[in-house]
Amino acid sequence: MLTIQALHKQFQQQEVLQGIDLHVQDGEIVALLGPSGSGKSTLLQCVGGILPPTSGQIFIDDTLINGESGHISYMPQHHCLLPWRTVLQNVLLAQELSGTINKEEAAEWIERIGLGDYLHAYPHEISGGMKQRISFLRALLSPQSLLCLDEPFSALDEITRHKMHIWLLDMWKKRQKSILFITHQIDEALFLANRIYVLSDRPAIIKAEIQVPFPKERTKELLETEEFFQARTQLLNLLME
Amino acid sequence: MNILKKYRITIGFLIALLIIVEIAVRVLDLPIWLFPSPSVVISELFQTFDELLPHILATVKLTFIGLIAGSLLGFIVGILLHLLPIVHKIGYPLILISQNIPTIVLAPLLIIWFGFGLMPKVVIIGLVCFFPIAIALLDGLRQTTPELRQYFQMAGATKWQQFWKLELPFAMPALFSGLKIAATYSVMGAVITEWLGAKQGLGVYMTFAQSAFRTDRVFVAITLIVVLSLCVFGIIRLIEERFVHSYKKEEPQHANNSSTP
Ligand SMILES: Nc1ncnc2c1ncn2[C@@H]1O[C@H](COP(=O)(O)OP(=O)(O)OP(=O)(O)O)[C@@H](O)[C@H]1O
Ligand SMILES: [Mg+2]
Repeated sequence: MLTIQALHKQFQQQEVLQGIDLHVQDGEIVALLGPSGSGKSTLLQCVGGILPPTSGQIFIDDTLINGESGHISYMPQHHCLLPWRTVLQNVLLAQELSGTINKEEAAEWIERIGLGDYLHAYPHEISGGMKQRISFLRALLSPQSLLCLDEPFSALDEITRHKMHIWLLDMWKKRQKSILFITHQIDEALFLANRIYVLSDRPAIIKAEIQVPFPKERTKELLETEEFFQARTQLLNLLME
Repeated sequence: MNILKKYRITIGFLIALLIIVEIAVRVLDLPIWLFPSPSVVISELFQTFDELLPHILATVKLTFIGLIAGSLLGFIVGILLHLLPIVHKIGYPLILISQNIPTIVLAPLLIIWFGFGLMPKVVIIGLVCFFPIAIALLDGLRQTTPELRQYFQMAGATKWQQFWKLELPFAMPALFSGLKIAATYSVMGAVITEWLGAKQGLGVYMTFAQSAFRTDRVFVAITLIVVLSLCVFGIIRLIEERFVHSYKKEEPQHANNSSTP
């Protein structure tokens, strides 16, 4: 799906990414875990094609996409819904940009995630969690098959965030997509991802690649298991090194 | 009725002011040619309304044609300045300089070129009105939130899509601020150009009234001009509420959310 080889990114003299190698397979959820300011967003912006890499290659399905935008769908940290568009129109935005609109399907999905009553509401009329769900849906329904999420739920409170995790896994089962997401929360990375890349401080290199040992079906009971706790501690130590 | 309720303090204040003026004029016994009392002005307005109507219509027509011409010009100039860096580099300073020339000094030239008809008047009003619109629109387009812009780029939007789907809608509130300023200018512009020479219009009526020392009629004209300005402003407000309804509430989201219904 996505392959990144020896990616370097430098701003003026400041080296931000120092040789990143990673890949995302079809239908996989991959987390990018790293401390604040390590260059996670920069990496996504390179993948999204709005920052040209200083050196290195980015491939999607064996096509080199360095500096080309439009190959991924994207969910930003802040929801980025347009205040003058209704919920439905906002979900359709990403499709409009890539040229294939399916209004019925979008309305159906909004219905399915329980926001049917808000189809024609404006963003200021719905809660933060709902906005985040709409923003995710907008990315999910765009035609690209790789979804990049930049700290998707960091603006939400803990309980809502956890509900969103379960919800996201559910959505992902219903519509097979590959997901690459950024986080600086260990729990989030462990709970959602199949694989985790741990980034170092700036300049960022991949410190470790971890295969998450849990089954694909995940429920909230997982959070209370001994395995989860151990994996968590191990990751924390890795990050603190 | 809503409007009456919303502005009841303002309206009350205006009425009180009129009553005070009325009393003052009567107590001081000012002659009518110096300072007519409000009641005289109002009765003059109603008595000669049939005679006034063609003048009012002429000014209304001129105002609207001028405002529409100026708005179109302002809209196009604003967009060109935004989209084409070269136009911005060359055009922006020129436009700023042009605003230091009182538009009215162009009047003799325009009359030589276009005669005494509608054309030179529309040109003057258009020139007066386009500036606030162009500048407000340009600012609005420039101020598009960087996060939204970044989202559009990441999602693969073309420059053109970014303009139509993001920047232009984003600049709508700013555009309307400019339009409201232009609306007030347009009535003033219409009356002033009528002074320069016209067959009909409130400006013409005013000139006649003044040369005949009919101060009451001058006040009638002033009253009508104020009312006309308020109407044009009100129309812009209505259009704004119709089209920009959902913008404003979102903007101060961190300030307070309680005001949203
Ligand atoms: N356009 C830019 N020009 C110069 N420096 C930049 C630019 N964008 C990012 N940087 C620098 O790159 C570094 C990494 O930024 P980045 O936003 O990628 O971090 P991050 O890992 O996403 O952090 P956070 O978790 O806080 O979002 C920062 O120190 C920042 O100063
Ligand atoms: Mg970031």
